[in-house]
Amino acid sequence: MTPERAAQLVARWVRFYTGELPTPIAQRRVDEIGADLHDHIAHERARGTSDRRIALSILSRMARGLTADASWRRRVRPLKGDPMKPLVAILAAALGVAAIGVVAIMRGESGDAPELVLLGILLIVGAFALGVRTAQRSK
Amino acid sequence: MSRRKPGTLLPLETEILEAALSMLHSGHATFHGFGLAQTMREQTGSRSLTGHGTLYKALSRLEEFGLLTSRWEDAAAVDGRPRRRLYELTGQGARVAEQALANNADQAVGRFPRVASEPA
Repeated sequence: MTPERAAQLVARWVRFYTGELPTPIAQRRVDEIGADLHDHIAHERARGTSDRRIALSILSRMARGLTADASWRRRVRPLKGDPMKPLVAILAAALGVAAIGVVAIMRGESGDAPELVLLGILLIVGAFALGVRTAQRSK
Repeated sequence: MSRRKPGTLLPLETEILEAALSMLHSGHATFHGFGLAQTMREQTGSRSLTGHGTLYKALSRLEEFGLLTSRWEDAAAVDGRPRRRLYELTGQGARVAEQALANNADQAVGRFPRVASEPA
């Protein structure tokens, strides 16, 4: 995976969890993290870091911030009305992230890439934490 | 997970303020998200950068508390890259950061109590 692909994945995740938020708030978050991703890639390439490491670093930052993304979103737009719809969406997203984590582990093990395995574990743990926290908050 | 008490800062938020203060002292009054994460990584000796969600949520909270302000950088300053959101310590933020640093210094001293010299 290239750093650019990893950044696209993160950007897609940001657009997902900022969906249905007021446009100025959502756009600010999308643009701010977009700038962060650009700076991250540029900085690490200037240091000579391999593209694979940069991509893993980007995905690791995403995974480690998943629960904070969810709680931030909840603060900005508290759940109201039927809580099941966003709950199901968030849990589905968590499942998707966990699935990516499983793929990363499988590819990491077959390609002898322990960092990919580690990233996969991080994604799964992050997705699990996100799911648990979402379920707890829905009560 | 316990909720924070009102008016208290989380360790990460304090760390951000301290990093912002150190950047201010080295002549950088404004900073952006990735630059802050990079500075914090260097200062703590950590191998990894703060997660996106964690970092920007903390920055948002500090802004709500009035300890940071932010604005988009001027379009003229942007050259072939996305424009950055620039943050700056407020006066109150600088005071809180300095207090946090002073508390850290006090705790560091406390951690190594003086040992009385042996009698001759």
